[in-house]
Amino acid sequence: MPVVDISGHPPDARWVNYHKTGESILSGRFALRSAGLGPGRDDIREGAQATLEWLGDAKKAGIPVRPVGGAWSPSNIQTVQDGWMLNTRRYNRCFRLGEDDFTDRGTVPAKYFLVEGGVQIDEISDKLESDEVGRSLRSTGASNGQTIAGACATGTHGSVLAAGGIQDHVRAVQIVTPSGIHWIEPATPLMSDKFIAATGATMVHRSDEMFAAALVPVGSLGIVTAMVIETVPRFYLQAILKLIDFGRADLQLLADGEFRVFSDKHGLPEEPYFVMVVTNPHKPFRRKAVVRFLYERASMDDCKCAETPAELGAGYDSFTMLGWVLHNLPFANGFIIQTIMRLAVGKGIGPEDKLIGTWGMTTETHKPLAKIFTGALFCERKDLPRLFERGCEAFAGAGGATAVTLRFMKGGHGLLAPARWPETAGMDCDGPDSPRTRRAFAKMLTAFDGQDPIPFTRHWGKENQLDAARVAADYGVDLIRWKAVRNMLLSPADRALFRTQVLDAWGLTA
Amino acid sequence: MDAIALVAVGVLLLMLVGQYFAGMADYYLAIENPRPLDEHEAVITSRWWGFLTQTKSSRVAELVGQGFADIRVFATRRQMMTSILTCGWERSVTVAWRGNAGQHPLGQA
Repeated sequence: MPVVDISGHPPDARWVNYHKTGESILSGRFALRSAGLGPGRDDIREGAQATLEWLGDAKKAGIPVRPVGGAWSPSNIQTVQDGWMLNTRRYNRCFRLGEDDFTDRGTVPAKYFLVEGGVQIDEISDKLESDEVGRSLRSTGASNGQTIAGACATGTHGSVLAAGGIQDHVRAVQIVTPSGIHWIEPATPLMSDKFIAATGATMVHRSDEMFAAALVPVGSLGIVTAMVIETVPRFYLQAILKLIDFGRADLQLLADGEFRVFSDKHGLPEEPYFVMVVTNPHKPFRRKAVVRFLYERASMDDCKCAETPAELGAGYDSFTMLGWVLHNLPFANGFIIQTIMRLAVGKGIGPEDKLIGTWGMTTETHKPLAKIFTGALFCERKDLPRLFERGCEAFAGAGGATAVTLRFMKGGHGLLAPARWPETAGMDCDGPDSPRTRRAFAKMLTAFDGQDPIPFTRHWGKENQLDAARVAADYGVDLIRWKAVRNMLLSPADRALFRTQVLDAWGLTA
Repeated sequence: MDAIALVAVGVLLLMLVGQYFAGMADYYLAIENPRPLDEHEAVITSRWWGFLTQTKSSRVAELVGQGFADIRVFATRRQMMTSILTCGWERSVTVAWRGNAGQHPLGQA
């Protein structure tokens, strides 16, 4: 039986999320586990049917439910009170697909994989990037401890210039609701009817509108049990990591999309694949910034393979470790953040190091050693200078004690994708948590809405201080379309099953 | 003489403060490519300077069959302060561990 009652096991009724930003007092804990069946469609059918039965039991008992994977999101999107929690982390298998599994026999099956909802991003990368498979994800978040379903649910972004959020890999989704097992894919069919039926799905939706809603479900459309993802051939990346003088002219180059010029100035004389700039919000143009470039390489010739993600510059969220110092010495925040940045970069990674790795090696599953604060905002790239300067002034002025990281991406697919402009810039505040930093973040958000407001959205999975009015304003017609799809998948009684304090506050369950 | 005594007291105080902070350090051990499940914590208390060491209760973890993904050992501020105030008679540490979700080979759909 793939759904197992683990209520009696530690941590028992009190459950805390990965970053220890929220807790649930539960009336039951359950685990969805792979039944170890083969072929994979049988395993997924078994898991989906067990999930359906479990949801039926919860509905009969009138108890709210919440699936949880990596429990990664600090926005507490995964918490539920007096409810049942379904941990999906052991429902974590990946499968190759065959030619017969697709509607169009001309489809190249090697590009696609069937993955269970609880599989971690790092697990997918490990399997894809093996010599035997030779494939890769195009972009993910900087951390890789989320499950694929959880990362898509929040529209997790990276900083790959030519890619959107992680949900852009998804080509089909299996979602279980109390009414049945749904298979959702675009209007142009991808998977064959025979394959879909074999996964246990009884309701097939081939609709661009439903697919766009299901790509970023924000934990409100049911339980995602499986996905078909599309991958790219394995590629390699050469890393450059260094401290730079970061001026207004640099910021304008980034806002204008002149990444090649920015790279000429601070990195290698070629088009970068990935650009990320970590700045100090306390006098950002007078202090050093950390820049990380990744350059695409077809092979590893003449390069040294990185042995750990940290060698490629992963793990920069080590900024979290000095929380209490920053909280208690606000007057020295600028100096302390700069010192941490210098220590984190060390001697950096130069062109002469020729350090190279796969995409999966550029990300890392970090272990939180302190209670972290992490918030992320998105805006149209051209608005970045205004967002950055106004944001830093408000944030640093109120004693915010995190670095401010700039990232760049294409607009992601999905009606509720927060990175929603064709050319999107992201601004992350990652660092140690403290009441002062929370207040400063709130002040920064208010500053954007003040005189001459700057349109921006907020990451679903991070600290966002969202409410229903703000969500409605941010997503407008797309939210109305998303709710229409939700209402097709979930009756009012079924919607009640997925209610939580956070989702209610965001207006996603009403 | 007074100056020497003051210096000695100062050094002793520094030693205590150093022990306090160092005692709260995190010791973290993980398997390669950890696939972590939920975190569990247990407090292990040593009394009589280590002659008696025990947890409050035994634990049955949900990770049976999969092993540990990672283990972390640390003391909280309260645990360290208790240790210092009792001259080490009572010394507690918190052990946090996460089970491994398991590593499956790539299968056929």
